[in-house]
Amino acid sequence: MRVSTSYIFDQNLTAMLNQQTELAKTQLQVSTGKRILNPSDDPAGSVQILNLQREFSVTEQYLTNADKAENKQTLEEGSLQSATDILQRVRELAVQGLNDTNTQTDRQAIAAEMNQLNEQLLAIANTRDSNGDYVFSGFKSNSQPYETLNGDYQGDEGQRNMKVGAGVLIETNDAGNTVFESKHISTEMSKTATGVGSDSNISLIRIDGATELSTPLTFTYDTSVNPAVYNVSDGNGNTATIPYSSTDNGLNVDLSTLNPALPKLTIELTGVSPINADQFTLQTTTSNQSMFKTIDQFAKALEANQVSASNGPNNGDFLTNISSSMNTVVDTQAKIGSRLNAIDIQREINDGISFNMEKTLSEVQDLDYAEAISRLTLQMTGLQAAQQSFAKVQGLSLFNYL
Amino acid sequence: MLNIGTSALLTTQGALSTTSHNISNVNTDGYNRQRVEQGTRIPDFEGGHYIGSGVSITSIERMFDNFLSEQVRTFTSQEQQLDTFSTFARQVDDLLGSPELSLSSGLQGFFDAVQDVADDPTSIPARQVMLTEADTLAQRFNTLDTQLDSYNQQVNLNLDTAVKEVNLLSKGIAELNQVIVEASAGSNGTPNDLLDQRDQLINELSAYVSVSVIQQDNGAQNVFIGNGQALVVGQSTVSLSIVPNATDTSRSEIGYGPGGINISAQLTGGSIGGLLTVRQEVIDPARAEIDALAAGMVSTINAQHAVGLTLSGNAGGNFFEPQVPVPPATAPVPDAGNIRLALTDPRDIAVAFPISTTTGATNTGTALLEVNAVDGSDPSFNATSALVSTLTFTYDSANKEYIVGYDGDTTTTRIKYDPATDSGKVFDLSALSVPPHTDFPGANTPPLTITLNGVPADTDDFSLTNSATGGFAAVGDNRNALALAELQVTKTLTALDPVTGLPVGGPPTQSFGDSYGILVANVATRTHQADVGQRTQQGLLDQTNLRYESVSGVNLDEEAANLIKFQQAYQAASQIITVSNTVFNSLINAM
Repeated sequence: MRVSTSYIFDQNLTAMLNQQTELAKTQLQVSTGKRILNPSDDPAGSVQILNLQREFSVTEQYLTNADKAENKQTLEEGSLQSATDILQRVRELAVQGLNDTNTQTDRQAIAAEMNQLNEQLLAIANTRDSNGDYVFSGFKSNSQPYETLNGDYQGDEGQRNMKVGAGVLIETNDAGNTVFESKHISTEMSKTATGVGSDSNISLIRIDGATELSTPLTFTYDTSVNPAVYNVSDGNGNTATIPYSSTDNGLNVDLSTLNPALPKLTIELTGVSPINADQFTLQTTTSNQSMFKTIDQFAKALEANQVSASNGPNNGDFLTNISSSMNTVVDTQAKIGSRLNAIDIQREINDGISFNMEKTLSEVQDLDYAEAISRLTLQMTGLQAAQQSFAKVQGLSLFNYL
Repeated sequence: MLNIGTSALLTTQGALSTTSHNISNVNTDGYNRQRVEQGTRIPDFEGGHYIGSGVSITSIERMFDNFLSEQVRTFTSQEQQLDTFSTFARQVDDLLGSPELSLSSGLQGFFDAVQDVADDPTSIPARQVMLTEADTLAQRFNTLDTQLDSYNQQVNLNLDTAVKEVNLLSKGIAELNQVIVEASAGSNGTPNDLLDQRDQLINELSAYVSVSVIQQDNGAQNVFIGNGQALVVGQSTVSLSIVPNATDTSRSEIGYGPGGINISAQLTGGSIGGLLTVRQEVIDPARAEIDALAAGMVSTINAQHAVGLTLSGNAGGNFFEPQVPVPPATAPVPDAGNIRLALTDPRDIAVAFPISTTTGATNTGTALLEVNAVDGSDPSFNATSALVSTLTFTYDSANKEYIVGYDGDTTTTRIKYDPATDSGKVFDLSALSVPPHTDFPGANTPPLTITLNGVPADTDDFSLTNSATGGFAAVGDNRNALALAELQVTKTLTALDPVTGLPVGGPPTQSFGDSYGILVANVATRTHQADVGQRTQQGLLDQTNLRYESVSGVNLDEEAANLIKFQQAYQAASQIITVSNTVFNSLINAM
């Protein structure tokens, strides 16, 4: 086939220009390190890159959230550890203060330390984070949870969640009323029925161990037997009898020695003229109360040297109550521990995902340098060959020989 | 003999001239090489014999293949269309893929900032960052819209230029028609160079739009475009013009004739065809997608934002503007061009849920009640009054149900809850009409979705109130921020029909990011397709050109050989003159 001269020229030129375009593209790939320069280079790949980048940065955000959640939890954990230590010390002081060998002065000194500790405890409950937000006030971050020792909780129940993984929300705070308030028991004796002019009385003088009574204990004076007795019943079939006459005024009895099934309580029976059907009831009332109020009440009692079981509020229950407060705090610490654990696990998962995603992203979007460099060399050789052959072929003409 | 010599000289001169003409036009666009066709002259009948009387030029042929010429035009039109298409599509492709303008990274930045606010709801700097990111996102939409709009302007400008060129070319063709008709009349030669010029103009025309050519007997050629609209008929032309689109005056269309009838739909091929198709298949759908994404994003984010309460306890208003108008209102619809951030004060970001939960002080069970979602879709919804009065839930263990009280009325509403099987179950309070539950009486339904957990004891109770009631203090509540952040991955948008550009029915199938990814993929695929198509057409055009050139192109070596051939012929013919002179002299001298 005959070929026209201008066509040869044009073709050679076009070929060279095409080679230059390809070369420039490879060069750009090498200098950017990216395989895909425009989405149209690889539509499927570029959408995959968009999705991977999105997933990748979402995962990175989860990791950031996990760090923040961990910080918040660590702050809370630290505060609660101090609270546990303080409560421990308060308990020791209480045991010491309840000892009968103490004088009022001793007890006042103990109360002074206890008040100090209580203020510290209150300060812990009012801890603020780096933003100035109260840690233990639920959603009401700007409201101080406990303004005074005897004040009510000012926050709400809100628990803030942070997203540390796809569909994984972790609580990052605990409302003060779930941490610093716990079941508060108070055991009191009351006279529920009496004969005329009776001066009989039963008072609680000592509480050993946990005393929460599920059903009230009743003491009923019965003169139909000889000698007359107080019939003790806990309503669950556990009974005992305490012989009592006017000469027994001031009798101390430990109930558990009469019947091991009865609580370990020491009562004092008084009165010179008990009358048949005189009745006393010993019962426990429970309520939720802040530990500050509990400690404050006990410290005041210590100060006034009124720490016997009969003094109201019933200080004999204090050790039980302070243990229950401590349990609540420790329970919260355990919750925080498991949350921190969950954060760690989630972080490992996210790290794994993030690593894999980065790897896939690199496979899709990054250039295979070995391949690109050899392609570049090939294209350079090709262009050079085209240029040289162009110059040579253009020199060929029959006119040279005319 | 002298005559024969003269005829040979004249013929060879003609051949030499034609060869020179070929050589001199080696680089002339559209030139078709010419060849001298020689024939013997009518012989003289003398003495019973026919004696040859020399040579003459029978014609000067233009080496031209009509079929190949038509193929070149067709492929030029197709190649040019795809080339124009791919040039524009590539611009859109670059725009959507560029990291500086990509909505993908804009959305990412925004939602990261939302999560940071969720982490520290009271932090003003975090809130400020969220506003800045939202503003950046809105501006990216605006920039994309402006850019896509400027591509439309560019299409308009290019159409305008193309139409002017087409009109010039058709005038040129008509003029040449006239000259050719005149030149052909009364002579049996053909005005080859004029024909070349006309073919060249038609070729140039085919780069703008597909043409079909009908040869007339008198030598004129009629040129048609589209599906039979005559552009050149003999010596007259019909001019094209730019007319505005009937529905959208910012779009130029091609008008035909003095009436300016819109014939855009009929035109294919060439740069005009490329411009019209790239507008229809790439720019318009991209704008529609981005507008739909903008509108979807505005309505979804605004709806969630309106549910919450601001740092000051006010109802969260619009986050982006303008809000999607409620039909039949005629307010502007949000699109990529007009969306902007509605908030300026970081305290006005509504991060808190308007509902606060109180667990009964005497509860002994382990039950929990959690508010999952607040539904703000009712137009009359206002976050500060989302719960008119206290909503109470009291457990009745005998019937295993919560007695729900609203506004003091505890007679009707019941939620069946068996702790053994139902813990963690989600209840939409507006959908309690399904037995065994009982719905709220009347239309007075709290717009809440709750989760019930744990084992409640008999008479355990919960109460829900509006957090704004009696002074808002729950500034650390981040539930609405979490709900906003969740919109990043929630599928909230329905796909758009690729042909009509309208949303297809059915449940939402795309998140914001998905929607943008699909747009990028669509444009990238179309661009890629056009690139591949353009290369194919380029290849076909090259091959056809090669064949066309092999017939019509000038080869200098060939012409050099011809030059030698005709030079020798000329020298030989000169010898005839010399010989005839010698012969004549001999005769004279003999006398």
